Amino acid sequence: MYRYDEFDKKIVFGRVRQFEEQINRRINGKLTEDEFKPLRLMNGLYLQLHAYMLRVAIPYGELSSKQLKKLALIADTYDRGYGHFTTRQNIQFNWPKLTEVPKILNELANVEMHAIQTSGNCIRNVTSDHFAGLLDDEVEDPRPWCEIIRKWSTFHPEFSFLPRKFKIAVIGSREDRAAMMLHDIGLRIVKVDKKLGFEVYVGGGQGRTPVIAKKIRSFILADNLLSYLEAILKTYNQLGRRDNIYKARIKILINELGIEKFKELVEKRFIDMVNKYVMVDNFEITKIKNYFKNPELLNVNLPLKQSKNPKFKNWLALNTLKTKFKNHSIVMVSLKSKMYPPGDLDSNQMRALAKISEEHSYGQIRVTHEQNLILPLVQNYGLYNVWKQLGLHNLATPNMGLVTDSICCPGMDYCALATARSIPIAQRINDQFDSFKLQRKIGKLKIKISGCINACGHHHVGNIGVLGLDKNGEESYQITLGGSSDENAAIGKIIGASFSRDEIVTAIEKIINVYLLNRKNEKQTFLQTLKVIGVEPFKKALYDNS
Amino acid sequence: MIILKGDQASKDCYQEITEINQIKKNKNYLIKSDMLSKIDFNTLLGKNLKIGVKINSDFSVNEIVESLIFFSLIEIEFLTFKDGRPFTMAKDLRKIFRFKGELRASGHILPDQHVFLLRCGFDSVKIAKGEKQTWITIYENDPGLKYQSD
Repeated sequence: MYRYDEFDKKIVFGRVRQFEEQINRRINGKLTEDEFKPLRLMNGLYLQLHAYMLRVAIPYGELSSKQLKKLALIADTYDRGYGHFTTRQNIQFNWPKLTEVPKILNELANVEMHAIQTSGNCIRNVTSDHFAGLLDDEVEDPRPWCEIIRKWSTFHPEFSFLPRKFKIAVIGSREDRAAMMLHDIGLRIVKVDKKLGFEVYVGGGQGRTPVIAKKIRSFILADNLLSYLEAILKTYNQLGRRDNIYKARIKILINELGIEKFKELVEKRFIDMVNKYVMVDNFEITKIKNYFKNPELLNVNLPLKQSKNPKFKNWLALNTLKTKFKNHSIVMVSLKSKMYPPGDLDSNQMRALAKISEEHSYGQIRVTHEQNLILPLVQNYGLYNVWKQLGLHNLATPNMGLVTDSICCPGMDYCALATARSIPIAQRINDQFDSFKLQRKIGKLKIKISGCINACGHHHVGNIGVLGLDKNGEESYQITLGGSSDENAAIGKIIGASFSRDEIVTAIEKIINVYLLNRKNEKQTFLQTLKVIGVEPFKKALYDNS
Repeated sequence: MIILKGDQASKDCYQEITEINQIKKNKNYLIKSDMLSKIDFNTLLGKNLKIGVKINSDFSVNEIVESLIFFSLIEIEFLTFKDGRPFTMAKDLRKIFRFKGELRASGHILPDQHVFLLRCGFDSVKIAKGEKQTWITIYENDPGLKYQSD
């Protein structure tokens, strides 16, 4: 996994001291809240509905057991005993005290973690495929390139006060497991004539104006990646709108200029700078690639313990996946049990999972953008034990990719921007479809729930999306159908008038019933069925009372 | 107001003027960008003058690239510290247009942005006299660590 050398450590600890000084200046009145806000945001610190919230980066989703234990300690010492995993491979602590934030950052720095650029109008922490380096469908492991981009973008003097936030995702496979097309810049590693490079997509994003990213370059040589990113960022920093926060993202600039004009401007800048001063250093790449090498894998060829326990079989079928490495599987740890809000993990679970990872997965854990965790390299013969141990801590819910595995933002339970609650909706969906038999019958189906138009719950790209709104002081929920965040990314379409809090789960049930009645066979997905039958049968089921 | 170059403070040696006819011999003048169309730089040759131009975040540096040779100073005013365009303007002036004179930042800037300004090619910053110590302390406390080659 990623590793910080002495220089990285100095930078991270230096930032802790700098932020401590900034907090002191804020407390002493030398910084106004307006001036302090962008500084705290660049350190991951939000002011939420009830308290500050600290968003900590989990670089490319990678966590060691040592780091997870540190998160447990932070949750117990400085927060309320739990953390919340987000849709961008971060963890959020919802109750830190402002004066204790430097102590938390110092704790994090001790285990090579930080909250740098997890928020603010700068280049945010880079995200990647949570299966990176584990499957055989990759051109190359994207994580070292994420790390290259992290270094380039950290405290970038030119791009720390952009018109708006800026998110980059990197993948190495045709299959998109990182919602790459929903990022300001999406990069896919490709090889052309045996040369390594990237397809470059630009201008994707959700929020109130959802847009699928457009391809700006079919191939940029890997050596020139940073120069090309600089050309895009310079163009955006120069021309992005600053008069209206809702029109300040790069997607709006590209929509206004048109992708061809935007590309022309970027290419002109790229020609001005290529090979001049932002080259990727081969020595640096080799060094970083070495950091991401797997530990020496144990080649114990013991058979997988067989069990007639149907619950184990279900979990094995749904929550595990073979890796490209002999005798090793990925275990997907669902954070969507009935017991907790989606994406939440308490400190006891953190410690338990850290221990399981040490015993069975080389002390490695990863975070997915769908608010679950994985144990990336579990020896097959230990799967039964892993399942049993996970089950003791409510971490063995067999629902990966099923209807209860929904993405859900914190909503009005925490967020100052939210217009409705989202967590209770996810929990009620979980109750409604509690039957495992029913979930299996429905099959893979992605429900995504946001508590406001900012779309942190990715509702635009849910097969079924739910958007919480405030309608005359009452929570109401709008449904979109047909969204997807994979390599066939699509924005869902609003189906009609919104539903009250009491009606929304029944409405979702009706939609699913239409799907079940109309699908050709069990293999036909919800999206395929929607494409075949169109939206009318769903509308009829929802709104036709005749 | 004072001029800060790194941790060294000095008086502003440029006089900000509003009319072209205020220009005399042997002095340093700072003119505003809206005066550019009224000025014939050739008439100023031989007068031992230093001319600076003041632009702001909203201004496109492309409008002055033809005249860069006449300027010993370009002052870029931040309309708000949150508007990061001057960072790219400074980089363009240095890297693309090869401006060799003094680049100065003014307006609403935070001392926390000082090092970024210098790294993007600014030489100096115009600040209120009373802010001097805060700016110098933050500048001196900066560990000087960076990933980029600038």
